[in-house]
Amino acid sequence: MAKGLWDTVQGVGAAAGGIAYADKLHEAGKGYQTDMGTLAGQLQTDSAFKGYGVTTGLGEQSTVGSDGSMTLGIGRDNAQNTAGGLGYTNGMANMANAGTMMGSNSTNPYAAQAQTGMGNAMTGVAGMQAGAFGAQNQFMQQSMQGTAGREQEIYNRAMAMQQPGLNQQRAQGNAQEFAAGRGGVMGSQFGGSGEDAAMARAQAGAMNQASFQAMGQASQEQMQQAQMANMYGQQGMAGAGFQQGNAMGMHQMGMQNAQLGQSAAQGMAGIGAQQAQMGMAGQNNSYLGMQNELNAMQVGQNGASMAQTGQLTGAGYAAQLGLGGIQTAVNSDKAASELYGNTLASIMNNANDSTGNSSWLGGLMTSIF
Amino acid sequence: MGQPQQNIALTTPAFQGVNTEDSPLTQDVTFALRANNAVIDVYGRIGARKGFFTEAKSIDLTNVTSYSGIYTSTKVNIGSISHSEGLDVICVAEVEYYGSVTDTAVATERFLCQLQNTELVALTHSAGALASINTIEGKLAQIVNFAGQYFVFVQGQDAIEVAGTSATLLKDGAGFLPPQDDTGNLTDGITGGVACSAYGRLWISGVGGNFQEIWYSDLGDARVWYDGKAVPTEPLNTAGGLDVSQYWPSGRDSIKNIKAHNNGLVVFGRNSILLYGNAQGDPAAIGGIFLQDAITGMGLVSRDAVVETGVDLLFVDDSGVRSLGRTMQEQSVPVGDITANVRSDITSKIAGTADKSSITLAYWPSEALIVCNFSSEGYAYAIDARRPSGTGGSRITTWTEVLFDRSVYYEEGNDTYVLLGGKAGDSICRYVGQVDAGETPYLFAYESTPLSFGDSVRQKFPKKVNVTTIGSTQPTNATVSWGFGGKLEYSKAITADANAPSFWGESQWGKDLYGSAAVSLGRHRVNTKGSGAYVSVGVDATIEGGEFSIQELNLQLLIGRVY
Repeated sequence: MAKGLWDTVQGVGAAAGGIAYADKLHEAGKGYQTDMGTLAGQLQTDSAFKGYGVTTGLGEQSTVGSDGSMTLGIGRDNAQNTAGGLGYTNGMANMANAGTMMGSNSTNPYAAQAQTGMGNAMTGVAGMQAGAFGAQNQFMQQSMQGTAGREQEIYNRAMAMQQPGLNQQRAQGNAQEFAAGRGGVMGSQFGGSGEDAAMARAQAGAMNQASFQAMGQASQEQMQQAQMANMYGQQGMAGAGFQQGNAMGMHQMGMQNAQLGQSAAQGMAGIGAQQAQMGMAGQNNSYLGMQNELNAMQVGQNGASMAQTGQLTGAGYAAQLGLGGIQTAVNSDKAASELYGNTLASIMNNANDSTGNSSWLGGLMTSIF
Repeated sequence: MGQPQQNIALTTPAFQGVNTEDSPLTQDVTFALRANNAVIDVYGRIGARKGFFTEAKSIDLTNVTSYSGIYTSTKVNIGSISHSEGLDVICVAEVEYYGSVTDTAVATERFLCQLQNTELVALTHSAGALASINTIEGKLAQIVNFAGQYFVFVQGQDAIEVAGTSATLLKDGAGFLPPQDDTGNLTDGITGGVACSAYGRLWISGVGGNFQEIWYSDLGDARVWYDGKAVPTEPLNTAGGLDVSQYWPSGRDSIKNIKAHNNGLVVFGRNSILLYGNAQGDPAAIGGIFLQDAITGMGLVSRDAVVETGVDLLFVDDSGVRSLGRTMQEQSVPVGDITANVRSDITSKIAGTADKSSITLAYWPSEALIVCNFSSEGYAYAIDARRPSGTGGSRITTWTEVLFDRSVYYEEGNDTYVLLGGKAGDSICRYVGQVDAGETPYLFAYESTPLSFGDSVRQKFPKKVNVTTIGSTQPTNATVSWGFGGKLEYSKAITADANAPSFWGESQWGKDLYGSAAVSLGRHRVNTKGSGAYVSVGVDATIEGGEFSIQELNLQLLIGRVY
């Protein structure tokens, strides 16, 4: 067997030495554990809480048991609690009322009437505006159209208006012609007689005049139409402005209404909140006695703490002393184990030279094994 | 004891013409009961009319190409006839012909002809002109002279313009402008059959069958008519129209003829007359033509029954021949009754004439005659144009065997002409000589009214009638008739020959009677018989070449007891 086996023996020897010493340490540890358990039991008894009691004028004695349970010698102030609950309830009811009132305000009949009236006004204004814009558009269209048709229309109308007069003149002319024995005369220069021509010339002059007047009138009407279009446009724009004003008014009114509602709601909410707070405060107040009792318990707790602190200080001293003894035993075991281990290990390490190869010991051992 | 014969001289008997209106018993011998084929001669005596002597017999149809198919002409009748100073006489010739040797039916074609010397020469017709003139009876065409040209108007057909020897349609002439206005042509051509040339214009009615309207041409231009367009085609056109429909005083009438008179226009209706004044210048201009007067109850029986005499406008009304001048002056129809002495007769004649277009009125100044012709009856009233009779009515004689439709009077050089349009194949005749066409004699007849000589209760016993005639030396066969109670019971033939003119040294004094160079007196005695309270005397003479007038009648008679 070679070096390997030696190594193995080395290991097994070391381990066997270690295991044997460990068992000793384990046994020592068990002794320490028992000591410390005993110490702990002692310390637990010494440091156990003994409980305490507080007595105030608010009620019966309040106590804290050794198990920490606390018995408060006073309960909540039910009357206060009831009053607080009632105030809260009333606050909530008032908030509800405030909501109702706000709801009522939100359906303000005057506002509705105003809105309806305004709506009607808006409708009317819108109608008027539409009419105005329609008229403006119509007049604008008319004013933008050529005047020829209108001239003809005016001319026809003017001539139609003059027709009875012309007919009368013609009839008179015819009668005069007939009376003068000139009826039925037709000449190439005149179409009819000279008198017919004179009348025709006069009528042609009148027609000419009428045509020029018609042109002037048409032009004037065009101007009037443009002006009326402008006027109606302005009316439409005024309507639009009015609508805008109305809208603004409505908007402001809505805003005001909303603000009023919000203010009312806020007010109501504030009132309700105050009432609720009052209720809650009342309820809180119902526990004020208990709070005070607890405060007294805290004051009592200081005393108990001081008593406990004394207990714990003594137990601490005892524990420190017990633990110090144990620690000392442990330390000695530890030093013994380390010394054993180091001794065995230095034996085994000499089986190999400095280069790692088997030393003489190692060789020996190798040859043995 | 024998009673002496009394001589009652009937000097210039019947020189006041025929009178059938007044009571015959109250009339004197200056009126006649009958004076046929007679006139009041130049000396105021009753005498035979002149003959209808054939002036032109032959017709030259060389210019008528359509005539080539005519085998032979048989008759040439003349319709309308006209004459204008400086132009040949123009007429519408109706040629009756056979188309071939075997033809038995006579065809008729009408042509416009000129009278050149004594021959009718057909004009060169355009197709339209030939069709137009060939459409209606020749006598219905109206030929007027305007601006030195003839224009022929045919009712319902386009008017014809005659230039030289060429006849074309007026509407085919260059620059023709029909009546028009802005709606277009009112008529394509001038189709009226009533025409008047006066005051530098043509005045036409009947265009398009409308006899309520008169179209008048431009001044001096027959081709330019009414232009009622807003811008006339010719700027200076003064043509026009005249609608008379509203002026008839009798409600509704139609234009029969248009005549220029007294600076105006006389528009004849059938039953009324319109008098337009100031027709000169531009009628349509202010102050132009105007209705001056309207006469109702008088009218024109047919288009050609009207004639101007220079001072009067005579026309044939239903009641006879009227004088418009007198009517205008006196505003009374009866006074202006030219034919008052034969009113009933002529009224009956007018009414009895079915073809009113055959009634015409002609004025022959050289003959101092106004002839109211009833050509369809072959009958005419010859009205003396010199002076009226004692009744106020004109002196009137009658004509029979009248063989012409229309006539024309004109003067040329130192001669005067009365040309007659023969209607019995006689072509153009002339009122001249003492024989009718074809050398046909005609019968002059005179009959006095029953004569009482101022004593109607005593018997008269005519013993002899002396007839003093004025005539040529050529013997005239005559018959002297007499009778009683308005009836010519007895007659005796005589030969009315006048003594030859006596010239100093050629005849002896006491043997020959002196007379004019060609006409001489002749006295012819006829023994008579019978008796009666009223004595009628008549003289008939067959005129066949010699003039014949009755200068005087002398009755030698016994006046018997009161019976």
